Amino acid sequence: MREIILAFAAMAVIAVAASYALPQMGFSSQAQTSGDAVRLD
Amino acid sequence: MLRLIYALMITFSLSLPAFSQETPAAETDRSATGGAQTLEDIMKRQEGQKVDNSFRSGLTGNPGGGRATTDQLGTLGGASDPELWRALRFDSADITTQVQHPAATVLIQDTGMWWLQFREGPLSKYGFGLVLGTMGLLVLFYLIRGRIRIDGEKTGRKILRFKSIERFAHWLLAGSFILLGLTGVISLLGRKFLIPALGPEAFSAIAIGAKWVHNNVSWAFMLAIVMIFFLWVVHNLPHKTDINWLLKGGGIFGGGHPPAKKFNAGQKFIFWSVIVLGGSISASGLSLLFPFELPMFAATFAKLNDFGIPQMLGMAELNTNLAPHTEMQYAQLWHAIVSFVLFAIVVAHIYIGSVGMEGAYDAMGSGEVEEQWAREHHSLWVEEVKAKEAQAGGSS
Repeated sequence: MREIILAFAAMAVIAVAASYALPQMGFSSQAQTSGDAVRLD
Repeated sequence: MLRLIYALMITFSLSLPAFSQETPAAETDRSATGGAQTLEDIMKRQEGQKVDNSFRSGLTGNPGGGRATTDQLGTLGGASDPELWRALRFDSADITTQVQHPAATVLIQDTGMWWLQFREGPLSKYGFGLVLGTMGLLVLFYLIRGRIRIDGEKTGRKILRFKSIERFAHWLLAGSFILLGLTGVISLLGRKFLIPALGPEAFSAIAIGAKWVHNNVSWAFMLAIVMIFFLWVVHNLPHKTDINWLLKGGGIFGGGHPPAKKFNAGQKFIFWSVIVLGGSISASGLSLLFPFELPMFAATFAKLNDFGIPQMLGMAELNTNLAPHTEMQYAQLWHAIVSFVLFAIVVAHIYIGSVGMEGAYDAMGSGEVEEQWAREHHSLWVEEVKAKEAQAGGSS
């Protein structure tokens, strides 16, 4: 049971980390699809 | 990595329906329309039939052939308005834009309706049919065979079957797969079924949440597949005992328990299904996560053509000139098709690991199984464990 809880907790942590890290690394849709002349928020 | 992805795609593209094959068109007499469309073409289009546009797709003028506009009485260019629109229609116009992704220069592509109809038609019909049919068969099997009990007398002794890290990886994979399955179905068919039931406002919130979960939990799924592969691949290599196990049907309908090592042939089938189909789902999922960055199908179709596989199946060569949108549409369809297949397999796995077999859940619950259960289902593995214990006891 401990491993189930740990796995589900890890899943949540990975999901939140991915949602934070990918845009930071420039993988947001707006960053990927705009040129240098475009100012992003 | 790219080669692995291609290999996976090639392996499984063998069963792809021939969506993209082009059938040679019969010559049509167009003299009555001066070479333009005929009534027959228009009627075909209205009836949703395939129309061969090759007679006009190349008629896009000569954009470089016009006189320079700086010349006196200079022309607008070498292409008329109809020719310009035709070039846009057939994606051969020279488009310049500040938008960076490859699809930005495709102003018109016409596979969207086919994609929508395929998703809402055959894909959902056969996909859910497969999963629900599998569930129905399992219910029938349960009614006929009942729960597979431990035949012998329980010993009260436990054997460690899966270590903590193995159970963690299993539940990471299981939890993420179920969540991805549910959110995937919402994304696939929510517009058709949930909007009429809940309304667009409620569905909007659900769809946004489902997309967030699906995109971000996917990384846990991919990590778990890698963990599972390295933890168990050695135990899932083919072994001569697998043949006997398969010939006896795993003893599932009686006739004794065929000997098996840590994993029997049925479990090996599940393992390789998860690795190969899960790997393919991950590959197409990455293509969808990074839109237009990782196109796979044109390259896969080209390799299949090179191997002569479509020709062997009596098909025309697969179309390798795919618009970026079409690549994404194929990736989405492939993602869903393989997911449905894997889901059907996993449903059977869940059944046998829970209600279907006494003592099976303990392996992934506490990690320890009843020794009698292990002797009945994995006798060779128990002998290995006992021999190791004896060796360890003797040397200490």
